[in-house]
Amino acid sequence: MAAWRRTAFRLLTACLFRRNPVSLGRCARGFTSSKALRKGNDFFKDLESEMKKFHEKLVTALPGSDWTPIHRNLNLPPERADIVIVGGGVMGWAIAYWLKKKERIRDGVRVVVVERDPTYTQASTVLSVGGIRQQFSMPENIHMSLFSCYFLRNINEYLSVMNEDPIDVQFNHAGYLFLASENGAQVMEENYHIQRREGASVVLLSPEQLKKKFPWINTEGVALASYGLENEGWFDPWILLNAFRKKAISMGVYQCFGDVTGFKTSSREMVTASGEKVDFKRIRHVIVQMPNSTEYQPVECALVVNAAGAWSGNVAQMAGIGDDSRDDILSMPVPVEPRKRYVYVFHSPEGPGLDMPFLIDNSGAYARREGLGGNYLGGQSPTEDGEPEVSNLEVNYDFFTENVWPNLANRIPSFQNLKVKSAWAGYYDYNTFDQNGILGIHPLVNNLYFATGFSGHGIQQAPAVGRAIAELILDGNFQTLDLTNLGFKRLFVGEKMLERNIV
Amino acid sequence: LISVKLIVKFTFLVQVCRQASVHLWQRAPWRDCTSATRPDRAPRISFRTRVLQLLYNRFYDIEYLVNRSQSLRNWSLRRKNAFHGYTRERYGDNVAAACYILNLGGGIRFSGEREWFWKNQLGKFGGDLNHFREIPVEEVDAKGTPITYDGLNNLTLLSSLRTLDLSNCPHVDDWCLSRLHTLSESLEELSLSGCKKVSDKGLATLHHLKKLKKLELFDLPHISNPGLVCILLEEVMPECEILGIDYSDVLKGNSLEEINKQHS
Ligand SMILES: Cc1cc2nc3c(=O)[nH]c(=O)nc-3n(C[C@H](O)[C@H](O)[C@H](O)COP(=O)(O)OP(=O)(O)OC[C@H]3O[C@@H](n4cnc5c(N)ncnc54)[C@H](O)[C@@H]3O)c2cc1C
Repeated sequence: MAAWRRTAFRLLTACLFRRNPVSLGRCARGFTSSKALRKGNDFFKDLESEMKKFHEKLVTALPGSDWTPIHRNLNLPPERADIVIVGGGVMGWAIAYWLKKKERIRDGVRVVVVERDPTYTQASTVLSVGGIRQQFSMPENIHMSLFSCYFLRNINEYLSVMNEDPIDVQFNHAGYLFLASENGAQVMEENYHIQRREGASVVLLSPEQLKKKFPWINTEGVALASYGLENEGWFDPWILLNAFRKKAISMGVYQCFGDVTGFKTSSREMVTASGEKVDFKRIRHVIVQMPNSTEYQPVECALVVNAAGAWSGNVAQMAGIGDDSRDDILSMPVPVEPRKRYVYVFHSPEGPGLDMPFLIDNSGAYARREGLGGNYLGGQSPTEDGEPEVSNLEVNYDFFTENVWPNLANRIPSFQNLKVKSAWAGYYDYNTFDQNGILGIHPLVNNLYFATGFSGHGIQQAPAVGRAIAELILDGNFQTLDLTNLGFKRLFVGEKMLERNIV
Repeated sequence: LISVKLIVKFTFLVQVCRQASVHLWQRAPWRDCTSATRPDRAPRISFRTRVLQLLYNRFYDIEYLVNRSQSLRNWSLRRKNAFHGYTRERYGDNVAAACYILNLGGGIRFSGEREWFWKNQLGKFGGDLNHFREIPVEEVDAKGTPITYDGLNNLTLLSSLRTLDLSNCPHVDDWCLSRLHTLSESLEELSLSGCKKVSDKGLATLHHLKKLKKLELFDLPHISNPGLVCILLEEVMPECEILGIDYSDVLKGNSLEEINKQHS
């Protein structure tokens, strides 16, 4: 796991450096060593500023087009776009792909994905565990994950690019095993009935059945277990992200590396039927700051999608959402914040073998197999008071020895003998309101869409969420899966859509 | 103004030339991020694919046609593997499964019969449908048939299926294997030899098959560590005889420690 992330990181940087454009300025610098060409140097310098002026003239002469004979910086985003997606994680690219897939005519919508970190060092997508399950309590979550499974199964029909090898997301069909204590058994049974009704393939196991099926487990304190037989397991999120990205780019989505630092908005006052005044905002420009330079580019756009994962609260703030000084809905912030979660990789020579599922203990600790060589991944969410601070991604190894290990070793006695090999941390895009995705348009900034707040089950919902947002944008409402319940309304009404199975 | 026009024309020409050369000699960089994933394998693309790519980028129709033909192939595969719901309703699970397998070109044997059924001249099931309504299917031979994940819907209902031969099926993959758990109470023999898409992640799901006595795994190129997989399979299914792979691979070079290193 660590290995693929490291190589991927290296490859990405290599690719980026190779792609650095040779600008006129750099040519000019190349000449400075030669005295004879000093004059030429000035010429080139002037040329650049002249070109800039010329470009500006051209823009005024040809309104509505951003065609230009000179590319000043190839990494700059286009000046105009229909849809700007902030955040190039799996959500951003999934949405971009589905927008392109659903467009009626070729190049019908111009989509730009803005990502600030080309190496994806902090994006939750590449730091996640990649689990997929249907053992949720909300039908929406179950159906999203079922669709994602369908999507992953037929991924080559959706995402294959000509002249490329077929995509293999490394799906491990191991199933999830949830354990419940005496107190949790009733809830588990209710969830089981919901899951069965919605079409998931899950069975309940008594402690005796559990012991028979998995002899390596200690059933002490377990009253009931639920085990997924199909469509559950884990896959490689990095491959999924890249597949979405490659396909979307091949379909004509613009990829741009830059930081979204603000929006230019306009507002308009309207009056409701009851005579109340409401301020409607609209984003006109997205301001994209280029990396390592002071250069920035405002992108004129019709719609913006906020898929900035754990940072989507900040992005919302840029549009004036969560402004305390106001007394309307805009004063309410988007309840998404980064929460740090550790994942530990350990080796246990006598650990469980091929039949090891993705185990979720009733203590909250989880573990799964990683490859066949006796390596495992494990972790646990801290308690609300014990949340680590989120300024960096450093790992607290004591958390493993004090919290995770005792729980795991109690459940799987062979884990008493283990050695931690490595660890990493990532940010959950944590929805503090009800730990579920927030999908849809903001009521008062009426061209800003959200796809965020997935609180640790985002990877598995990405294909479904991408499709849902594309439907919202291009068709005006949900066509296939009705996700209205995950919209903004619940935040304002204060009605929580609680998911009971949060890991 | 003339000079401006000239500059515009000239730069445009240069751009067109550059793009054309890029098309021919490389993949188009602005619509491509493959180098991000696999630069270790220098892209050696045949002339044919290069030309195709060029056509592809120039003419939308070619892309459309290629995609169309692919989806046509997918459609015909789906049709062959459709769920025999009508037959099932009228004649039960066993006859439906029989019709499906014979249609694909495989054979089946009912319990208590010695003879196998194969497709007759009409490509249909030759027996008396009503007669077999109550008789369970015991053996299915689907060697080399285009059976897919969706097609397995017809088989997963067979509660007395003892032998299943899926060898050399081009579309059988890990997803298919993950569905076999429905046969866990009856399946005794399974052959997956020559299924090019099956990997160790699929074999790991076979631990559900408690009754399995014989498993054939010849010629599976996608298994990264055959020896280790064999050991682990025997660990979870001690009663099962595994043919086709053995642990000599582990002893040959891939010592367990190296494997651990690989997987860390
Ligand atoms: C340890 C861990 C384990 C997990 N396990 C699972 C699991 O088992 N199953 C599962 O389904 N999910 C899991 N998740 C959750 C899942 O990873 C996330 O829900 C999902 O990746 C969210 O994707 P995203 O695209 O919204 O966010 P991200 O992948 O974080 O992408 C957001 C991107 O936006 C960029 N960005 C932010 N602000 C700006 C800006 N102003 N301008 C430009 N770009 C910006 C960031 O650089 C980032 O790349 C896990 C998460 C963690 C941390």
